[in-house]
Amino acid sequence: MEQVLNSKQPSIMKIKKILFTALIGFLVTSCYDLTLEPKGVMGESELFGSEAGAKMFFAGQYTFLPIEEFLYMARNEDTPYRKGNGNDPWGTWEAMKNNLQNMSGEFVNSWMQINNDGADYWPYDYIRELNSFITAFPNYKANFSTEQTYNNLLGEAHFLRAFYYFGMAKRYGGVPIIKEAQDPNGDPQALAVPRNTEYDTWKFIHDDLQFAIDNMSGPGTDGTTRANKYVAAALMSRTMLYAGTIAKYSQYLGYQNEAAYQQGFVGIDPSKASEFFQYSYDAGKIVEQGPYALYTAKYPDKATNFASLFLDPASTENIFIKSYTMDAHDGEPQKTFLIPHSWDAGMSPTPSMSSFVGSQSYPALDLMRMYDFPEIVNPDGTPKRFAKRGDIRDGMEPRMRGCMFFNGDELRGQTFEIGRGLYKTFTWKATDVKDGNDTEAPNMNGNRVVSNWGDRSQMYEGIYIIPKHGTRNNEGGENNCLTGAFVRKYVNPDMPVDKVREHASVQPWIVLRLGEIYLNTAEACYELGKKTEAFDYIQKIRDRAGCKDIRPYKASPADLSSTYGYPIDENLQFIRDERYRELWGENQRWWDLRRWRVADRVYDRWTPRILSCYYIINEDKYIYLNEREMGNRTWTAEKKCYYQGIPQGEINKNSNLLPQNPLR
Amino acid sequence: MKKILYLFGIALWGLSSCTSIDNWDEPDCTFYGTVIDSYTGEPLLASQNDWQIRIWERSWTGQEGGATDKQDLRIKQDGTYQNTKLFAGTYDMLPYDGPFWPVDTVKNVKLSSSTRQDFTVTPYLQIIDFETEVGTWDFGTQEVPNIQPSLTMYFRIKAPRRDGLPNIRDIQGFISRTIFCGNGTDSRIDIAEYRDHVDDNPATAFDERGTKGRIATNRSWADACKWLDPAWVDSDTSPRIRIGPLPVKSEYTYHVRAGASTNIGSNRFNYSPITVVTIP
Repeated sequence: MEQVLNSKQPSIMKIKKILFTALIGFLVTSCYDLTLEPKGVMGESELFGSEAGAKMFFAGQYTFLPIEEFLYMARNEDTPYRKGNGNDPWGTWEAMKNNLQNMSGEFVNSWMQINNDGADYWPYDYIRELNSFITAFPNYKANFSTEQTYNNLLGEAHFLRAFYYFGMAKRYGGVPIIKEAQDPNGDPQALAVPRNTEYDTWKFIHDDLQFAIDNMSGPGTDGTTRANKYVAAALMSRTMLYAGTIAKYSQYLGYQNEAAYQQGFVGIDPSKASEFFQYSYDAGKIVEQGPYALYTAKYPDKATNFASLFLDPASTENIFIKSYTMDAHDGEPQKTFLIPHSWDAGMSPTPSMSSFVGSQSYPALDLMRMYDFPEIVNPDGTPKRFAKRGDIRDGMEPRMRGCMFFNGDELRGQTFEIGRGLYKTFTWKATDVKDGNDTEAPNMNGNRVVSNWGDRSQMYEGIYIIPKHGTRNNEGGENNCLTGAFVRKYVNPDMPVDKVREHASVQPWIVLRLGEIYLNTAEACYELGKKTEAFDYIQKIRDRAGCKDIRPYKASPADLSSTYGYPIDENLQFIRDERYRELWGENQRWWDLRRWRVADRVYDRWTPRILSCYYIINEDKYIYLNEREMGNRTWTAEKKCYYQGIPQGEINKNSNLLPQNPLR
Repeated sequence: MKKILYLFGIALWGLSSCTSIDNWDEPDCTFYGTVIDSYTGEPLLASQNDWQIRIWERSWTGQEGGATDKQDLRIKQDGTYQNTKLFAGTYDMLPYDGPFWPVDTVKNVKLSSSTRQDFTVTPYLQIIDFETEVGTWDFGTQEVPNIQPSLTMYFRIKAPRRDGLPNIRDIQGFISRTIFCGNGTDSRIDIAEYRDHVDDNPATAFDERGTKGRIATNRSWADACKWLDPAWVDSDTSPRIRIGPLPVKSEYTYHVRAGASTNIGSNRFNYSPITVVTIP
């Protein structure tokens, strides 16, 4: 036993050596100061103290701005905008099916109809970063050689902050206005910030944008991809128009029993409408001082010109754009937030014009008829006969040709051939076909021949029943031209067919363009009583579109108040319709219908109409019929769609966010 | 041997970390009651799941001031509601977003096992003099006739209180193959002929060819009544309204009613009683 103890027991000398080493170690380490800044990590002085640093700081902010572009998803279980963590950028090919145009009825499709609830959007994390910048930036003023450089950067921060608040205001109405970074270690009660009124929220957006306009100069070396004085003015033009209509028309919502409405968290008093319309009008005038002009580079062909407007990188009409890059395919993680979109793959039929799953969305006949559309019915009520499918295009407004593809149009070396089937004979009136189903007289007893099989796989007496691009009779919308036309807006004809795939399109999304500013100004003008000036702006748009001059505006316009439940005349409705004709497919429609308070009337069990082309065998002629979309899909906007619910998770953390928004 | 014991111990520990006993009792208390029409004293004529009694659990200790989220107890077609899976506590209750003038929240209602809470509400509109007419109608065109069995509804709308009455929004006939009939869940046949609405253009509003199950407008009471019949004299009763003729099928039995909604909240309907109609 003694022997074992001895060999395991450390000697006194060993212990002394260990203690001495430890003592030396403590003395040595106590000389190190642990407050040194880590090298390689950018701190406030690096990011806020130089132009390059600030640009790096803002670059992330731009990525996450609430812009409903090609990758935006309108489902309510997704984060709608790409976020820093979590969202799989490679899953964004799904945006082809779940985009806002599909949800809002701008496009007819088989995937999405109205989403009355929306997705949560509560970006106070990005707002905090901007608040930190705005508070600390004046400390670094001496670092900047010119005052304009300093002012541009400070103005840019205000612009970005306003943009984030805009994303919330258009969803929720009044939200907490937080202008300084909160202290997480401070008084917990101070963190439970209540909502501000909707008026105060839009006014705050105005004040931030006014600061940007007052302090920034015109476009710099980053061109249309970065904010400047005119970008801020353009955003002011849009946001203040929104606020003006919210003020003017909220009183007709039927929300007067709701606590959030009574307390001003949703809705603005009508007496404030003129104030906001005036802000919008003034901002539009500032934009017009900038280096912008309506795109006319491809005149005299106004159809090609309108299509090129969305693809020409040198377009003089672009004020602010969002870019994409093929570099993301390298897999570098920091570039996946610029990942290419899938627009061409989503709008082009396969295999003739695409190498992916095929087209997803199509324009409704209701929309086509809002443009100058040719007659398809003779004066005696019979359907007009066309010698060739493509003859339908004669008499179509150039702008319509520029944003939609019809029978006979070409893309990527192929010609569109769209049809629903064959008639052995057709001796009826056009109105004898209301819906296009089998119980209607012309369609009975085998007189109409349709097919569930497309792409020329079925024939009847030597004739293809369904031409190359639809319309099969089996209701599915993928690669089946549901409505008789394809989307042309933003489609890149220079992309070879084998390259048209998911995550392969890089044409930029135009966030703000001069055409929209003219429409904003026209609407603000009319609401302010400047009716002649309003229609002068409308004429600029129509002239570029290839439409006739409809001035002067109607001196005794029809009263449409019984349609919409509030006073509105046909002149103002014309301005609203012109906005849809021009901005169709650009993700504005949903927000417009909401701010005009007409969504639940316009989308009141709306079933799209379709343009169906048939070949009449015994005449060797074509007819076009107005039928109901065969899937009988309806778009219905409910009364609650005007305001999303404040996220319940945020209310659970902060009950001062109550009352909740109406009908939620 | 030791190794086996260690493995056993690890396995047991591993399994136990995956389970935890939920020691919270399941909710088993019941709120129930009837929503009563103040004009008739009877249960309010409603449609299944159309609107709700909204309740807030004020006694919940997990958050100061009680729960911030609400629960909805859905209304049934007979004007009653019942939920048997609630936690005991103290609640505020409010019939919410229904076709009636706003009522006050009933506060501090105690629930310990089963509590009955009735509410009395004043509807915006009443549907009176409801009649159905079964016959045949030509749903075709001049050249191509299409005679089918048809159902037409006639009724009047009454607005006992007009001061502050919201706009009249939809006037609709509801046809169902089950006992559930109205604008609620699965309570109507939703085909185009029944869903489509009469154009707002007075020239086409009462097209003799019928086939529209809905009249959509957004007019004040007086304007709506004058639009329906220019000869209408101002009163709290509307002109006689016709819905249809609507196409129906022979030897089918339908449950049928009419309703009218107002532009307030979610535009809920006030209804007539349900009539059972068999087509010969």
